[in-house]
Amino acid sequence: MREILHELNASAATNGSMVITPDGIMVAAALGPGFEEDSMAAFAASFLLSLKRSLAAMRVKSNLRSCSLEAAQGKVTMFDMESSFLVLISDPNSDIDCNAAPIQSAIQKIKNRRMS
Amino acid sequence: MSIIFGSFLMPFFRLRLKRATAAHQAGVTAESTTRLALALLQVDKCDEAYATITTGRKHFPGSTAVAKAYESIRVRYAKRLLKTTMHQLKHDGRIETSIRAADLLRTLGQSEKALAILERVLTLHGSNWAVLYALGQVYFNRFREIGHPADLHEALKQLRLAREQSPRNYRILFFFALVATTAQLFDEALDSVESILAIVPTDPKILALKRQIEANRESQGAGAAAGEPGLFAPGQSVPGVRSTASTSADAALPEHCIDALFEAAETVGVFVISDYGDILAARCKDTNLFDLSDCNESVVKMVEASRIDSDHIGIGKLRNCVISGADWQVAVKACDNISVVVFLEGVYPDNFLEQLLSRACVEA
Repeated sequence: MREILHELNASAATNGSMVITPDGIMVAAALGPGFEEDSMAAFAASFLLSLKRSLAAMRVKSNLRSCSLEAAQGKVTMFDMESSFLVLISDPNSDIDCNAAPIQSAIQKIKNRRMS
Repeated sequence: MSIIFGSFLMPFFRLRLKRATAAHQAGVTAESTTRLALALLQVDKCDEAYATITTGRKHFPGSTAVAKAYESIRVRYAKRLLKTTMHQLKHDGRIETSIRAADLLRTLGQSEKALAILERVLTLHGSNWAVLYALGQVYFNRFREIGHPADLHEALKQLRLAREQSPRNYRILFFFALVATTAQLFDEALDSVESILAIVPTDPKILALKRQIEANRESQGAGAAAGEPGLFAPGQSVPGVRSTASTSADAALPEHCIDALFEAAETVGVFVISDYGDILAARCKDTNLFDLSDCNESVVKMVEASRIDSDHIGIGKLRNCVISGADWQVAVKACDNISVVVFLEGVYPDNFLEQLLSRACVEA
C-alpha cells in the first residue's frame, strides 16, 4: 500500500499521503518531513468523526465523500473510502481535483488491496 | 491518602460505570443520566461526564438531580480546565487564553483573579470586544454574589462598550439584555432583543426573553415604561469606577453581503459565526439535502472542529474548509473574527465560496 501512496504523491503533486481507519489508526503512510504519522492520523480521524456527527445532526441525505482543510501552511484533503480514509497533504493554494484520475485510481487500488 | 484510597476503589468505580452505562443504554432517564455522569466523574473521565450531564440538562430541564449533578461536575470540570489553561497562559499570553482563564475563574467564584487577568489583557493589548464582554460577565457575576450596585453599573458600562465594537454579536446583545433587565433598564434591554431578532427572527430563546422583559416592565408600572431611568441610567457615573475608552467598530460581514450570498441560486443556507461560537446570522431555504431547521449548535461545532483541528494537524490557521457529498457541499471560509458557512446544492471547486463571497459583496 505504501507504493500506491508514493505513486500518488508523485502523480498528484502532494507532499504526503496516508490511509487511516475511522478510529485514527494509521494503516499506511508516505508523509514528507515535519509530519508525525500517528498524530496526523489521530487528528484527522477526530476531525472526521466530529464532522460526521455534525452532518448526521443536520440529517444530510447522502454520505460524505471528501473534505478539504486549507490553512496557512498546508492543505489536507480527505476521501471517504467507506472503511478507511485517504488523507492527502499538499501545499496551501494547491488545486487538488477530487475527481482527478491519479486520486480515483489510488482509491480504487487501496479498496481492492483491503478487500483481498 | 485520598489518592491511595481512590486507587484502591478504582475497580469498584469501574464496575459502577459499567452498570451505569448498561442502565443508560437500556433507557435514557434523568436518573440514568445522573448516575452515568457521576460514575464517569469517579473514574476521572471529566470531559465525558460534563458532556453527558450537559445533554441530560437539555433533555430533563426540570430534574433537580440532574441540576445538582451538573453543578458539581461543572465545578470539577472547570477546575481541571483552569489548571491546563493557566499553564498555557504562562507560555502563550494570548487574549483568547486569558479570556478562557477568566471565564473559568468566574465559574469557580474567583472574580478578583478573573478581573486581574482581564485588566492585564486590556493594558497589554488595548480594548477588544471579547475582553470587554468578559469583564461585563465578571462584574455581573460579582454583583450577583455580593450585591454591590457599582458592580452592576460597571457590568453595564463594559457591555455597552463591547456592543459598540460588535453591535451584531448575539452573545453580547443577549447578555446585555439580561443585565439591563436586572438594572430595570427595560427599553435598553428591549433594544438589544430587537437587534437579535433582526438577525434570527424566530429564535425561541430570544422571543421568550422579550416576553419576560415586557412582563417585568409592566409589573414595574407606567413609570419604567415611560422611560424614566432605572437604577443606573447610561452615562451615570459612580465615584472611583475606572473608565475605558471605546475603540473601533465590529468586523462582522455586512448584512447586504449576507443577503446577496443567500440569494445565489446554489445556496440553500448561510451562517455567519463569531470566533466565540455566536451565530451572527442564519438564513435557510427549504431543501431536501439538509435539515437546517435547528442546526445552529451543529454548525458551530463543525466550524470549531475545523479551526482547532487544522492547528493540531500542523497546517496552521484555517482559511477554508470544503465538505462534499454526491450532490451537496458545505463550504466554510474563516476570516479574522468570523466564519462564513454556506450550504450548497451541487458540488463546486474549492474556491467557489470565495468567488461567491466576492460576487455577493461586489453586487451588494
